[in-house]
Amino acid sequence: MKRSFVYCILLAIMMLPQFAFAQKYTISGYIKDKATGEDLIGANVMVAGQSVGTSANGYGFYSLTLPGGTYDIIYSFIGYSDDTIHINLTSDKTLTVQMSSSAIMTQEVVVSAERKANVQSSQMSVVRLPVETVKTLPAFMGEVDVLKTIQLMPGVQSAGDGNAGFYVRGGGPDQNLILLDEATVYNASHLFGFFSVFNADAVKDMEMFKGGMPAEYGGRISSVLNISMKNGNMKEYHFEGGIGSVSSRFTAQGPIVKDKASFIVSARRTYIDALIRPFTKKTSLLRTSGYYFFDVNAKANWIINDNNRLYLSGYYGYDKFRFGSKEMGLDMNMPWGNGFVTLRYNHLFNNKFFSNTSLIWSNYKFNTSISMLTMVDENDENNENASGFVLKQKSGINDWNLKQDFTWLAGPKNTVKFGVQYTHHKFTPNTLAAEVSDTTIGSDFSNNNNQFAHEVGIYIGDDFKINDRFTLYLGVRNSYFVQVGPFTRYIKDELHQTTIDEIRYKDNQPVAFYWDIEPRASFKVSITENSSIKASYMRNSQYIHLASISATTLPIDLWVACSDVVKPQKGSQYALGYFQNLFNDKFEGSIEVYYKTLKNQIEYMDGALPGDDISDNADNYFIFGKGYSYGVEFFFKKRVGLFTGWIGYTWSKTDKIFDEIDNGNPFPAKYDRRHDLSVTASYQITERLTASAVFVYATGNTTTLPIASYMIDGDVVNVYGKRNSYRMPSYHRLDLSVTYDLKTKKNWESSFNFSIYNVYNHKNPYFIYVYNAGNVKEGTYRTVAKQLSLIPILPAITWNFKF
Amino acid sequence: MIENLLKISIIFVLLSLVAISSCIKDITVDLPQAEPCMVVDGYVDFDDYPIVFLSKSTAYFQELDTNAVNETIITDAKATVIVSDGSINDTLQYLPIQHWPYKCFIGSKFKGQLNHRYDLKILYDGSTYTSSTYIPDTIPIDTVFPTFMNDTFAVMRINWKDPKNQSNYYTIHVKNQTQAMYYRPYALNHIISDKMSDGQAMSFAMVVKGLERNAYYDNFFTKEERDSFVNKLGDVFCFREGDSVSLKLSTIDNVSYNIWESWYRNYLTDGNPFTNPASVKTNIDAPDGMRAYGFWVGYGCNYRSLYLYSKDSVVPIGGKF
Repeated sequence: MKRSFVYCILLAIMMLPQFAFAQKYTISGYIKDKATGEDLIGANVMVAGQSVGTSANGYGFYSLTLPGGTYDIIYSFIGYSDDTIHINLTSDKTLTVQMSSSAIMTQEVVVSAERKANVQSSQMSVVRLPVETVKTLPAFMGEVDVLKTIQLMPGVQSAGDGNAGFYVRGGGPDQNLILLDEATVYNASHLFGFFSVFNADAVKDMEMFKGGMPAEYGGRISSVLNISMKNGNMKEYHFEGGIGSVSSRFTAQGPIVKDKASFIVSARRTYIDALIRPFTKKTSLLRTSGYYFFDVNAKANWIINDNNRLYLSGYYGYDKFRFGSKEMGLDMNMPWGNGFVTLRYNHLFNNKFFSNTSLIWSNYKFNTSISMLTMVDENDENNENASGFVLKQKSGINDWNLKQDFTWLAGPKNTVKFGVQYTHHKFTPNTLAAEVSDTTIGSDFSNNNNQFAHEVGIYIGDDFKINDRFTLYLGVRNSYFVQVGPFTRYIKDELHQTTIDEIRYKDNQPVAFYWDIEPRASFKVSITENSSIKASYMRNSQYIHLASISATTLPIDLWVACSDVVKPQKGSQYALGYFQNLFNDKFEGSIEVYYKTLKNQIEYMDGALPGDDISDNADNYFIFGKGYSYGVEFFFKKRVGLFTGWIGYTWSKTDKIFDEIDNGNPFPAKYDRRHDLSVTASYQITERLTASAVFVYATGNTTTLPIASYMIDGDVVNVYGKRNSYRMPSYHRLDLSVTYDLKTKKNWESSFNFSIYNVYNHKNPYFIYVYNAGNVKEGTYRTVAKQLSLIPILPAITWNFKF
Repeated sequence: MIENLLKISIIFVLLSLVAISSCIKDITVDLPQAEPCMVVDGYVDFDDYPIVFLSKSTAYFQELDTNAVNETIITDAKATVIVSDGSINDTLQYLPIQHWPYKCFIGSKFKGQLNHRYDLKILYDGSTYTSSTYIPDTIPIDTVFPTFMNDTFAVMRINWKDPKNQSNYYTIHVKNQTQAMYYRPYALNHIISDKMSDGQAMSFAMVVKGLERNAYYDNFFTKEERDSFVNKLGDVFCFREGDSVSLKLSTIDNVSYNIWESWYRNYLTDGNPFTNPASVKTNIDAPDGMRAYGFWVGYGCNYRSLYLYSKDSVVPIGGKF
């Protein structure tokens, strides 16, 4: 508390000098793409010959305040030619700049201010990837994926094939704040992690903070992945798409009113299910079983006037899995998906004061329905007279979110951001109902044990350039969380068997209240123009947890909110890094070390089973502990030229400590990974032919296996070793792809992409399980360990077009 | 019961999910060497002599042929087993029995009494292992009757009334005289508490018929895997015309319930990658620095037996047989 007070004072002192100078003028405006009118998020604005500058915010707006005089202002952005504008500053000026894109990846000569941003900004542990880079790399089943590419960065770990989550610096998959146009995405993947929900054709920009999170972000303790959707072409209509072996996509964009309003709609669907069906036997399981997903991104924006702008964006995605058939006695349907709608309003109070107001609705749900029939009559082949039961499961999150963010571009050396965010959460924990011969058993869906909560965050942060060498960011966030009724708490006896009491909370009656002060700080010292040392600290509170019952991340993992039992997750992270650009900024490299502590982590009790929480609180089956992680990350990248690519390597260690597990001794987290290596390379062979490759190597995930057996009543009982004490074989894989651009006609471009996933067909472990057969009494008992792998070598071809 | 069915079905559905597009291979797993530990499988029934079977745990991947199993068994040559009812110490004798494991430590001085505590002491290899259990009051059985699921197979249903305002824990064992030599747990989840139904009429029946009869399992498990199921479930769950069937309703104390509950959870989570595996609890105290597994349980038991003459005719044949 005392420390936070010191922070506030520091912030106030830093802002003071701004008022001391006079006779300054402001240049402000938007930075856009000349051809499409898209805002260029993060584009740099620098004053030639001086080390003053700024960058465009998330809406392409910039503002630079300078003493009166004559300047050359350089506008630069990755993938665009620099623009220099000569300006005589005698009054405030509005200057909207339209930049032309260029094939900068292959241009060796351009020395751009943009290229030094990684060294010169105070922000460390940040990953920024242009969608163009993502599109050049091999894609799983030909489907370009921003989430997969970000997992090739050091410090960001993929959990392996068939795992939906990703892990940032030892944090769990729930500790990443994933934002798509400011809406929280709770489930970022389709098909158990094989595809992400982000359609690359609709994505404009993405930025990830692995540490040193600015104060405007909160609610997650490990990272922020902020993805912005394209606004749509303001000048003319364009269509693009791709037809692939498993999926197709199509995007349309164009002006509604030229230079005033535009839209973009992008849709995808997989069709393996439909393709397989005609080739299967009538009785085959594949005929009735199947999987598909589709998703739609849509966005419209309207420039009302120079000072006001409206955005409306939405996403809806849906996975559906059906398995079984009537004949088989089992029919399962499993649909799940996300959706959101965001309405945003940008307002410019003056050329230094930018405001954004967002109203966001977001929703995640996961449903299952299983009909299990028991054969009654052997001759009744279709089980028409079968009796059985239907099991229905439902879980989800529904959020309403209102945000007010202000950016005060106080001067060329000082940018202040502050604001307030409010979220209303409705959590539906695992709700199960079973119907047996018309009788419902278990929960009643109409009155399920939903959890309601209010979450508020207030923040202020100041990025302050002390002088040419030193830059400091200080921020603080104050977060509040209150769970309110209606809610029923089931009190269990000490054996955890019997409900001995119930506490019922009325509507809006507080159940639990938490708050925290979260300081954030980053500091940069430039050593030379091309190198710097940075340090950062962040403390975050997170009011929701993802409870994962299994060793893998699956959609059945349950989102649970803080309650009277579940305390907020708290994370602190210290990071230190050295950043260096080499050979005229053609290469960049960095080394970062971090140490992170995690408090109030949850795990399911040993032996907890899905469905334990029927007529109970899910959190009655949790145990609580803490964790820590430390590691070092190396990153080396060749940015320009015919040959581009990077190497990322992470050495890390992540342990958890739970009183109930192994007597409170540290045990490795399931995603503890000592070595993690990613290499990407892309080579432009001719003007039309590009080849690229990705290689990944990762230490195997941990798991718990039995180490001994004994006999009780002639049955064999297994004794399990220490939690996560066994390490599965390591994961490695090589992917290759070739893209061939067909001849470009007027307004028509098309290309073929041929890619091979897992080229040398390595059987990467998904999980290991043991199983026994035979009988002790007959002396035939034996045990076998098996490894399950998901994806063999997998070629894919996609035809992409654009007109 | 329905809860358990739900749990089982969710797990099988998840397993089948990954079975679709997957590739499974046998692997060699290098596990740490676990020291062999004392395993106690002992019980004292109401109105019967205490019985204890001792063995040693084995490494997980050790193949258990007849020789290996015999090597794990601890005989009277190495161990002394003493049961005390508080006043009399009975040193159990190593005697032959009719069924596997064919020899056990069996008491001779006293039989189990209701509302009595029994202490167990095992002297083995210079160490002393101890435990204690309690036989609660018996609860009378109301009715036992078969429900024929089709012309051939029947499951047994047992009804009783739970006493109000006390925590009661039950186990159901069953013996098919035609096939089995002794009482075995009826179904996997043969343990029940009155947590949901204190003071009410209680009923238990095996709902899942022989697993081998379910088409679902036919599709997804090899014959070998299915046989393993059936072996584990025993041959005692389905009954036919002509069978003589006996049901045993026992009350147990909460410690024993807790252990049996962990045994059941271990069964469901064993080798299942979708859960955290549960270890089976024990009430055997080992000397410092050593471990022991297994349990010592007192059963307040009651019996009811039937002869299934035909689908429509059932003949009561008394209690225990």
